[in-house]
Amino acid sequence: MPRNDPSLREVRKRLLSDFPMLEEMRRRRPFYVEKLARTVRDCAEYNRRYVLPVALELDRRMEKEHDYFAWDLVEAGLQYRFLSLIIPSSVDGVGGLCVLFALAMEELCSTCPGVANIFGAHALGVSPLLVSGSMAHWEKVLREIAEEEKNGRPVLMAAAVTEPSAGTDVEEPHFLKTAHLSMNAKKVPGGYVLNGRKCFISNGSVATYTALCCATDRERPLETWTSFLIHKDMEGFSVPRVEEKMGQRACPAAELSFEDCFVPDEYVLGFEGDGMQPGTLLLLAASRAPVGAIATGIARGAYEWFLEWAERPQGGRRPIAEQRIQMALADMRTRIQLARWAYLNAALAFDNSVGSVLQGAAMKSVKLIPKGIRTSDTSRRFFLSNAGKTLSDVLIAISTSPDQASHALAFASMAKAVGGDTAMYVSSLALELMGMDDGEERRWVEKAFRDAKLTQIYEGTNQLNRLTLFMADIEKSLKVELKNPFSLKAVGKGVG
Amino acid sequence: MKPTRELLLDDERRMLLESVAAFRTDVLEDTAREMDESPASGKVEEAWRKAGSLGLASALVSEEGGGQGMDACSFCLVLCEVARASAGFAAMMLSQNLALWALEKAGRGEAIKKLGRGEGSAALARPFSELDGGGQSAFVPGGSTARLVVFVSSSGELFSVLPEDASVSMREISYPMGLRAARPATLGVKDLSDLEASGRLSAELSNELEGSLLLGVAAISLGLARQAYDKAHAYASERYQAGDFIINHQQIRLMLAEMLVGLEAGEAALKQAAESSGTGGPRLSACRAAKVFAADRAVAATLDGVQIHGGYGYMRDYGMERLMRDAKYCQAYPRPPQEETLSLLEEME
Repeated sequence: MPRNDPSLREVRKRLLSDFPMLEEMRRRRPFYVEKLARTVRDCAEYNRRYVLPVALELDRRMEKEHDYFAWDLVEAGLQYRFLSLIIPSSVDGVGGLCVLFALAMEELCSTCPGVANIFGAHALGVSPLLVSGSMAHWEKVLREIAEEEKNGRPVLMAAAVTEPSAGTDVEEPHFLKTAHLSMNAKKVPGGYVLNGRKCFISNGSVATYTALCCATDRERPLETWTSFLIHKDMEGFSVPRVEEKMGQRACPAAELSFEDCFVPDEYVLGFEGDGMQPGTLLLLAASRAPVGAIATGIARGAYEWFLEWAERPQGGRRPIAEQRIQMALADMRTRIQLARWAYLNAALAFDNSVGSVLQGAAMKSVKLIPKGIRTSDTSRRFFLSNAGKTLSDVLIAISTSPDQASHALAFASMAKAVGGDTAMYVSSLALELMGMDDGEERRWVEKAFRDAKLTQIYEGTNQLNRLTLFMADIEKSLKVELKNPFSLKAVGKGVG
Repeated sequence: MKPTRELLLDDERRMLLESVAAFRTDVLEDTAREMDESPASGKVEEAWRKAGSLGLASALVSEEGGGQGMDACSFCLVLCEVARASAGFAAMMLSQNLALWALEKAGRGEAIKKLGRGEGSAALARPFSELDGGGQSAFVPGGSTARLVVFVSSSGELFSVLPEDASVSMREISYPMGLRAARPATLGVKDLSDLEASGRLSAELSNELEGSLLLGVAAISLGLARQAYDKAHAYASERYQAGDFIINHQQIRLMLAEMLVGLEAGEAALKQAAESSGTGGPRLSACRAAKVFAADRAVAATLDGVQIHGGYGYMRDYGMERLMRDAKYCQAYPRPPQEETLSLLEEME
């Protein structure tokens, strides 16, 4: 484990050797690759300065006080802008996409995936605003996050999809049709009234804003699956429970309750009924590669601690002198590298398709419009109107195709499953080889083993991810349906 | 269809298992979570006294010595049953019973009467690795609370030491991932020559001790795997997802079926090992093979058990994640599986 702050030079060298494709990319986009290296360096520095000294203690503390939240660690991350890594630069964010975020997550998770996942779950909450929200939501929510971050005040987000009786079912369109749902949003004048529960929501108890999906008609969930933005102070919204987890404890998983919670029309992200197709599928295409990176980071952390253990003389000899330990290290290193390439390729597939709209010329030109005009009431009304929302769909539709988006989803699902399995394999093998040694290294690897298991479960179980891969890539029965912006039907069923 | 294991039980073992099953459901299941999360809360001691009154604290001590005189196979069945609720508690039972067994064999039967009744506990420190005149046992289940710790040196000398003895260092492992109810400790002896041996175990008895420890851990592992299977099967039967109860999804069925393969084969290997006869006791090679196999399958079964439960499996309320943590400890205790298999090869050669 690093004992000193890593230099930018070291980090750049490591990145370029681990990811040869970045070397190639550097020739064409040197500033971009430099930005990636700086971000990873920041993550490494944050880990070493703030997380490494406290992570084991925090994990133990949170076994007893599971609703404790380490705001100090979130605040320490603000200087590195961890809350706006994927927020567009047009609203003062860092402007990174999937590749940048995935690299950051791997680095952060190599020390403590619990702490890292606070930032990961936050980004998962930001993502629906990017793929489904309008410019008005960006100007309001994303700008608030980025500006408050600069002022030293964390504004966290969360994403709420899972329901008590529907986990797998709410992440796949075919299954959603038969899901047993508990949440419902009922249309009323001026907005919707939400009732029901969401569970296992990372950051759910600490988020200011939560992006949430639910049906407006539980009889027709797929057709009426809709994305909403929830503010923590909305009446009827509460957090009745924070879960007690085996690992990743620093990031709370909460149950959210809605009792006649009124959500105004302007808090609907996109059109009613767009929540699954394309909403959730685009979200998963964006988020599963970074989850693969989270898992890869956990695997890497376990590997690095195992290596330290193997090099430490014990009973007069170093374990690394044994052939079986050498083979195990080589095997771990191989799998970690393969998981890395899988998530980076998946992240690239997203950034080059759906993500390109966020970094394309159209978005960049937004910055040319004076901020006063962009944040004006007139602009806000336009962007929340059917025409404004349709504009977002147009931008996505001209940047990518359903085939490309589906491909990104398939690759992301592949990277997620590979990452989760790698994290379990490496941490499990390391523990097996270390025996009952009571050294510090084993403490970290045990934590990695507990933390790793969640990466095979959240963001769709690995079984579901394989199924998504099969359906999207092999059987071709699952396709991301981008909205045809010129369809009258799409405009006609809008709200706002 | 019943598991094969149950068909092999004779009446005596069936009765024994029924009483242990009652102890599991009446005493252990309600407190297992607390024993895991707060092992110092007093619940372990409470259950321990009850186990003592059932004779489970002196199962391997001869009837003449005041114990149950249980055979290896029956004791494994007991451990398996107890481990379904708390593998940590079962590990503590194993450690105590082997310590008392060794003391009796070394001719120190008088020291164990009280302990055999569940009044305090003893612990076995094994493996004990010697270096520079001293030695260490990194993981002693029951070590932190034991009144007496027993270890055997490489020359077969048996030492029973008091934790407060000046030449012994006893350090509770502060945050073990698994087997927490056992409150494991690291035991160190600076200089063996400072201690007076309590007796000597012959090479055969020493081997038997080793084999019994391996069998015990194999039994605990299978208890964990059995519990994982039962819980996962029950959950899968009532969880509806993707248009059906998940028990009807082939992928889930395959995971459950794999668990059964491990259980059936593991129990057969355990039975064969426990009833095999080598020099002085069960054949060490059979014990090693049974232990490595059972513990590996327990890790796989409990991981899959968590996976089948999805998010609920990861939450502490459901008790699945504890099985996974405990199984991982059974895999590396008393020695890592690769070391065990290499020893097996050496013995066979």
